[in-house]
Amino acid sequence: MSEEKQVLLSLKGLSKHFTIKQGFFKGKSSTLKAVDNISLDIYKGEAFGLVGESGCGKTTLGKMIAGLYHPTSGEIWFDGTNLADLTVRQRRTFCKDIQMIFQDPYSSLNPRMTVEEIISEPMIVNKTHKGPEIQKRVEKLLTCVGLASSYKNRYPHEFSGGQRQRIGIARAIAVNPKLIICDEAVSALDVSIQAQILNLLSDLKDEFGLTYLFIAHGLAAVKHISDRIGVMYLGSMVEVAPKEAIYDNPLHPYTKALISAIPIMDPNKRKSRILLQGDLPSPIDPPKGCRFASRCYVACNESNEAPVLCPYKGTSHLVACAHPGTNPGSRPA
Amino acid sequence: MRVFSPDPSIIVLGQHATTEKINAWRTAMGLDKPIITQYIDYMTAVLHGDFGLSYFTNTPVTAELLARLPATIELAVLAIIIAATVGIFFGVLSAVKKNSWIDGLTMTTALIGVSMPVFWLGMILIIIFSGYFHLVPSGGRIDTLMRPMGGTGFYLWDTLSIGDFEAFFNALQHAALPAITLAGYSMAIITRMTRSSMLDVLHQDYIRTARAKGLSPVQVIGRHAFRNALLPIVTVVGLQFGSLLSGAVLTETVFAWPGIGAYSVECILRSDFPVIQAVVLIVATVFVLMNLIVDLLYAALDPRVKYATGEA
Repeated sequence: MSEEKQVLLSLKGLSKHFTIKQGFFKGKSSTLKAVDNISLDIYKGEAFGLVGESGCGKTTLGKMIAGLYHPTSGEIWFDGTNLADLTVRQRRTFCKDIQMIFQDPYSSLNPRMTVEEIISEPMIVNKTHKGPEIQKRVEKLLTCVGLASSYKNRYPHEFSGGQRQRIGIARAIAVNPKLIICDEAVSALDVSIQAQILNLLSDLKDEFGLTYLFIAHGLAAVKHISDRIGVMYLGSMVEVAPKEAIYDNPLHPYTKALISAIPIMDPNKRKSRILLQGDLPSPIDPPKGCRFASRCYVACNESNEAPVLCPYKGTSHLVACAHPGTNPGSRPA
Repeated sequence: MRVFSPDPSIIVLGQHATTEKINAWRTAMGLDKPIITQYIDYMTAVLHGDFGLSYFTNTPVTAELLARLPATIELAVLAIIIAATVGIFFGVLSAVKKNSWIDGLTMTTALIGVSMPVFWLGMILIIIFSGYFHLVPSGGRIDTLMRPMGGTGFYLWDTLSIGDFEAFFNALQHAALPAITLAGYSMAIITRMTRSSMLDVLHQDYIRTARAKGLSPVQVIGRHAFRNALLPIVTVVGLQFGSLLSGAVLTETVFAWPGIGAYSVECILRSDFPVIQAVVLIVATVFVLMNLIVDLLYAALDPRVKYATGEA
């Protein structure tokens, strides 16, 4: 991406480790490295897609940015403030700038509150709007997300999944946030509804000047909405690039494997699919050096140092691999 | 009851009563008829509001019970207030501080509370607070001289309504130990129920949503978690109140509390059938009524529960 873009969110060496106690008297403890040493810049006004398989730490990363987890180490720079340094109380004042949309629209809405209460609560708590303004805004937000404003007195159980997710979106944009983290915001919905919600999200992005961090496990949904895409594997970022670059010219072996798994409509153009060997290693005791080495077809295993994310041939395409761009069967470049 | 109890006629008329006298009494009380007939006669009377006469005092059972019911209700209400306040408070606390020492202490205490026999707890409390520290009296409802005249029979209410604070505190002192004793078991049950219900709700996604909205932990617990956890808690409090009335039997006996519990024990010992039947009937009715009230409360507490109306 071009240099004149302003950085909104900057992660520096961000990690989240969980201590797991095992054994009968919980004497033995080990560390689960859910997110390990991730650095990333997200620019104002872009939609950044974050993909990776289950358990690779995408959601943990999102929760750290949203303030639901406190990072073990590293920095989260948002608008000139390091959020990781703040106390819980100070951190809460940033909730009006960073909001999150959750995966499951069925369980993420309090069943005991009306739609109006759900949407107005963040405005009241964060003191962004006052009194009669709030009610007007609730109606306006409902219209924005494609629901009738007369729905405001209903309860969540009276809505379908897609409608509930629209309520969740209205709730998230109520406080005029700068950044919205969509944690698998569409994966619980039907495919036809997914498209509607994705279109809604991109419309809202233009209308309110939002920045998205779009977390998903499938590349298809991410492709639709994102400007840039980051690929995570086992707690670390392996490749970050503009959307076109990721799809047309994936460099990391893992990304190549992911892209090759996307079905292509035209039977004549079918690519050979790269099948990865072995299982995902446990994040409790991740492999030393390159984390992907145990499943990589290049399997260079050249150093014990984990490859860092660096620009490929001076472009904005970042990749963390000792031999970027190697295809299966060919010799390492 | 009728099979195993000693023959009431001997207790009423004395060991040396003649057979003619006994037979005459039995006929007068209707005890010579077949049990089915007795039952039908009794139920017919009950449906007309007549619980019969006590064998012993020859007074209407209704009057006897009405005189004692306020004492029991006062005790039960006091106990349920204590049990619900303390139980819910510690239940929420131990759910929020899960796996901390507070949680451990609360749950251990609750386990002891559930397992402890009521009469034993009562005696221990008497020994400690009454016998050793002399803080509170060991029995009775109020000092005889302070007994309020007339009124509803609820001494706490009566004394307070006429502004006699000395008598009110005296009555409160008398009620403290029995109420705590009676509350003990329910308190433990309510604590455990609150804890598990809160834990369940705290793991829900909308709690995470609430935190992401920017609510403080207190707001999250108070406005989102507790309100959703309330349903099972209300159920348990309601059911406990029903069982408190019957649980009062032991407590009232230990503390010489002149309510229907202690009275029914007296009557069981002397085979006063009409009284016992009436007590059982009342306790069962209260229990069923509490269940009904709890069910109706659901609708008020949970917007998803709506009872069918004409249009629905």
